[in-house]
Amino acid sequence: MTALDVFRTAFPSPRRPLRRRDLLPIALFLAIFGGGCVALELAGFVLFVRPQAFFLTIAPVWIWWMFLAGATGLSPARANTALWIRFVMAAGFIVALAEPRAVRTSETLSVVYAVDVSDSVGTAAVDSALEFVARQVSEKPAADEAGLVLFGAEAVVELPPRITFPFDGVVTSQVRRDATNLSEALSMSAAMIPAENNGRIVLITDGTSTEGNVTSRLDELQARGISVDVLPVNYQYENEVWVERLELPQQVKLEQDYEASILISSLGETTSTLVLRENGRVLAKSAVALRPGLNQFSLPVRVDEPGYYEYQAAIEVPDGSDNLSQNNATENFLFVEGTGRILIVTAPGGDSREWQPLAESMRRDGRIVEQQDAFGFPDSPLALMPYDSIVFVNVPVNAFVPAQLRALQNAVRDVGLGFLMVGGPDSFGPGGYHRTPVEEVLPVSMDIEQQELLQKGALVIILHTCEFADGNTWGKRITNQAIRVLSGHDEVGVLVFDKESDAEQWLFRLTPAASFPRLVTLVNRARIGDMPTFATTMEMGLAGLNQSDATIKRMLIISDGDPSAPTNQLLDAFQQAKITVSTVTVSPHGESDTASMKRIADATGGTAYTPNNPAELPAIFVKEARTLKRSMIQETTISPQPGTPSSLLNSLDETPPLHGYVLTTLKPRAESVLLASNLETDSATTAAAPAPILARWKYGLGSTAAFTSDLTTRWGRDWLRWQNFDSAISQLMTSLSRVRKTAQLRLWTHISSGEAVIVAEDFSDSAQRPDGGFTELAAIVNGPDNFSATLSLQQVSPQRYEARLPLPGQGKYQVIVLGSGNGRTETTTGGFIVSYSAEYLRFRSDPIMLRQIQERTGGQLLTINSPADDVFGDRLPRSSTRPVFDWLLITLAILLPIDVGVRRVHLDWSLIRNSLFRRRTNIQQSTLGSLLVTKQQTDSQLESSRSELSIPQRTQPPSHLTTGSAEPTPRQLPQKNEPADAQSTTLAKLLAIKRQQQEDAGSQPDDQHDGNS
Amino acid sequence: MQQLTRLTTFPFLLTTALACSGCGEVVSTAPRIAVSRISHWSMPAAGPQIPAPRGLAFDSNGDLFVLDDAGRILVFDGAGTVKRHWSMPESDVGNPEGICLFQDGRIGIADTHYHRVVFFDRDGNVLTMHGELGEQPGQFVYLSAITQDSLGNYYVCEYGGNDRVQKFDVDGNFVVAFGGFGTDDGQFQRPMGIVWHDSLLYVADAINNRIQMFRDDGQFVRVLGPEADRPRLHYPYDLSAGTGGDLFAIEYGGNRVTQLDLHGNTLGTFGATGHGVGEFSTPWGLAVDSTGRIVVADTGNRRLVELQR
Repeated sequence: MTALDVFRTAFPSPRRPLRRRDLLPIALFLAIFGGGCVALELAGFVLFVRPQAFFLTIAPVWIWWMFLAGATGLSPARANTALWIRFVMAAGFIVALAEPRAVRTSETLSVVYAVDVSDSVGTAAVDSALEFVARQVSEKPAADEAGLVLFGAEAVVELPPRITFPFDGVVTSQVRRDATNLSEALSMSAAMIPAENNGRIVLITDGTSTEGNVTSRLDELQARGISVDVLPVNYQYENEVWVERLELPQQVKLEQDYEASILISSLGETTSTLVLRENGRVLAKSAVALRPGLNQFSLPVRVDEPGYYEYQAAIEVPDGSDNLSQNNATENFLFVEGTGRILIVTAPGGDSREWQPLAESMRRDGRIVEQQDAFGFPDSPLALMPYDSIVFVNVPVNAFVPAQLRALQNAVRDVGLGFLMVGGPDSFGPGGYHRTPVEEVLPVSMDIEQQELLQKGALVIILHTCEFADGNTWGKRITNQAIRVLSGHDEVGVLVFDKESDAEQWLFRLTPAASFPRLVTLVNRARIGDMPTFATTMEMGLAGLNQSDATIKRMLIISDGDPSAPTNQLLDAFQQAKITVSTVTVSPHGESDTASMKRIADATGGTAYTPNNPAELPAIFVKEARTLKRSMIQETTISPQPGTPSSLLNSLDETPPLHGYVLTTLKPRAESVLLASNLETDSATTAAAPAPILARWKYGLGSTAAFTSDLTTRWGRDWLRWQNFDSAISQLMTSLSRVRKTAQLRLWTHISSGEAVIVAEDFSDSAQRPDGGFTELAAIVNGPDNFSATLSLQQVSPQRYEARLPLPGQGKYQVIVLGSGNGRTETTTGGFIVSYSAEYLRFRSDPIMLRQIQERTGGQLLTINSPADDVFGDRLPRSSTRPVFDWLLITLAILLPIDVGVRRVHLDWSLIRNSLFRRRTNIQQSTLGSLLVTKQQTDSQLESSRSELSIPQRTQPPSHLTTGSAEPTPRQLPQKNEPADAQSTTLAKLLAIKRQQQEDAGSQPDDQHDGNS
Repeated sequence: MQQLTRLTTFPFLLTTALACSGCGEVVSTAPRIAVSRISHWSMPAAGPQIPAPRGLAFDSNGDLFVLDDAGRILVFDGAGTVKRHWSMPESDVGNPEGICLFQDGRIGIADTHYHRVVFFDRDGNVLTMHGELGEQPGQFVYLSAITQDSLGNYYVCEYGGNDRVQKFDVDGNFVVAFGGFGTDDGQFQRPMGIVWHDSLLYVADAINNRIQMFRDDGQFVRVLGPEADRPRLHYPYDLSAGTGGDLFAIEYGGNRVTQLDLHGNTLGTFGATGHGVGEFSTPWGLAVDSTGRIVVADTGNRRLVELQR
């Protein structure tokens, strides 16, 4: 097939010669299409990314040609409609391929105020900055947008850019203020500016950045056309005193005098008082004269007993000689190893009978036992170094702060301390340890397999906006803590007055607390508004709780108490449903608010809390949530049975009965020493395994155990009288206690030039041989806020290894060094203390950095009195584009069935017309009648046509056999037999065409035959 | 034929379905109040705060008196420019919510959290204060709104468990108290707005989502609107009498202005939830001047919205 044949196939000859008016449709289309596209682009409404796609305009030309060449069989009007629909579809495809983008031009200016709230700037400067922002925003053009970003160590969005600026003058976001990250501040601010608007950032800062790379951000801002106006916070301290370092001897012997070396820097000359404290006790205090520069002082220290000693060197400076108080003290520690001890941790204000029998038993075994309440438990693993084991005796989780629990976890996992939890009503699940680091450490889980023994709880929390600093953040945090405490099958729901929709709504309906991670996300995203009444949310909560199948149902309301109180009828409904409502009144406007909240609690049997400060809130929420978990306490008599064969307690007689325990679930790899196998409740009928009474496992380097009953007269009275009680306790504590090995690996740490330097020295004899040292040394560094880092130590001299860590944030850091190689494995522990952040070593602002930011982004320098016009003044129209491909696809999807419909579907307009005008009955009847008449006529026509056509076909022999005539069969034969009016119907036309084709097909062989004969 | 029947009924069913798709919320089928121009007036900053406007009142000169949650009374001229402002004597505990311009020139403020009515002159000087915390006649819990009748008597709404209206004569002497906390006829849950018109008091009973009518002697008349077709309001927080014998209500929960006739038929609504033009966020108060101009205290958005009709 030649190209010409292809062309002729693609463009067949027209049925008739072209007339001038045949060109009209294509000419019209090309004019509209081409002109329209060009006009849209020139007018700036649309931008075509791939204009080369317009070469495909040949396609509509082909459609037009095929329209002329083909036989559609349609009336002229429908044929033209179909042609134009195809033109439009083709145009749609071409435009879609040209990737059109709608162009939007905006003169709206979005300004994001980025305010530095770090400690180096100071609260007075932050207050001035916020006043500046409020004044400017209140004077801005109504159509422009303003937003607020606050930054310190990280940047947070206080208000996204909008035409409204609902700022109450109180910062609600929580920002770490002990560092400055200008880079993140600029990045976050730029991200908040809508792409279609003109953007501007007003940066209010001192320009000192302790984290992040500002320069790279400036390039991004330039690329986006966002200018940064700068309002500098200028300061230069002439007087500043700071404690650089407290150096202690690396090795000490008991009862010998040593010196602590203290390095103090000062910008000016002044006299001060130097104080050295040991574990909080003043050890020495002396007046010192400070000269500009570095000053060194020495004070005596002496250690008489083994243990952990924390020293603090603090300088007390006269007024006017100092600006930053955060850098006036530094800490260091000494650890003198001795006989390991056991630390028993009890509930603050708890009953000594809870722990005394246990402590006395341990002491009879020759162990050194210390007792401390949870408030005094260390929050750093460093201070736990003197202990071999830690024992929690019936102490609830809300007595601790998270850092204390993490310190315990680190000490057990990385140092090898032993840990035992002894049960009681405030331990394990009822103590609130679900989903805590302590649960991770223990060999038992608080998710209960024996669900049938538990009563399901349901808790609804109503969160009203809390009108105190960080109030809503507090509300969210404590709600999350309350949910965390719940068991997985307990249900929890949260109701708020949503700030966006301005309506009371479920943040999430009653949901199993097992969905904790998802629920936490929802709580953190909540936009809590000011609800006018408690009634609506309480009604919603009541309805939700009534639908729940939980056994224990509670509601908790946190509010300032000023929404309207619920009616007595509503409170009665709570009473009838046995749902208690506890209330927490925070920052009330007056006594009547407190009374209103108390009325709700009293009427429903709940508790009314009026905490004096927000720090009390978590304990309240956790306490309320824990009340749902009382059913985890099984106060029934059991005879503990041995579980898996264990070396523990194996030499002892049968254990005495216990009269209660806390339900827990044994973890998969844990060793079940004793099990509660003969419950009064028939646990044999349950598929779940018996609950553990005593379980043990290895967690990291340490061993931990859970004793789910207690050792008091409450549940364990028979154990206290048991002749083997001391032996059992002795065996248990021996199996848990840290195993101390004499190590030849020593560790030193110090801080130098913004880095923590970790030095390990190998004193073993074998290390002196060339191939006798460690082949691998690694250091694990654990610190506050879940900080953890692993470093590899490099050999810097014979037997000496070193690693450096960029100084993390303020806090106490534990270092564990593990050496291995040549058949030796040794561990040693130490640590370092970062007393204050580098933020507190900035004594003047950085105008050079601020000028660089301003100049590179084309911004301007502002003053505190700059009017709003300076920021919201001139701006250029800004164009942005967005794809419109989706709309074209939708258009084509709509046109496609229309195209088919126009060609294939014949509409009876009279039927539609009649149905629209509601002449339904008569019309239907007449329509049906007319259809029947039409059918009969058609049938008779077909019959007569068939009879006339079939006779010659059946009786006539093939024409080439009977005649040699080339004359075609007369065509008028069937036509003259058709009714005249049938000519006009589509059916008749189709029949005529069909017959014509049959005749043509029948006559063609004759022609051929004749031609060949 | 059945198919045909379905075909012709389809548009009806579709319309019904679309209409019902909004069920569950307060869906207005009332016409939109005709508004020719919408203007936004900024609230001047108070220190680092952009204060939220609450109570509003027009004087006969067309000046607008605005209470905000920074404890200030601001006077705006007709173009939205602040002419002057002054502060409440105290506002540490909380801020006032209701304002009324008295016929004798005094400005009466419902000083909510100080349980008293404070009277200023037009220059912002304190003239008198009366009231204290309590539930006896002349005492208040939380005052929310204040209005005056043609004889000079004034009426004070309060909430906080003692939800009622107290009537005082022109000299501040207690006359009568009516209402109480509850949902029955004549009772209130947070009466937030009150307007006197033609010897009748109209009280915005916010949490009960209704407007109640009382005679000015405190006798309950009825809940506004036909019983079968009460106006659908969501926390009506303030009322203002229009110029044509109509009432305007602002809905804190509905985020809209609703225009009612004195029989409670809804004549029109305006507004939606949001931050844009023609949108409100927890609007607290409204005022209508003699020309029919409406100003809304768009509290959540910290702005005043002027609706020119």
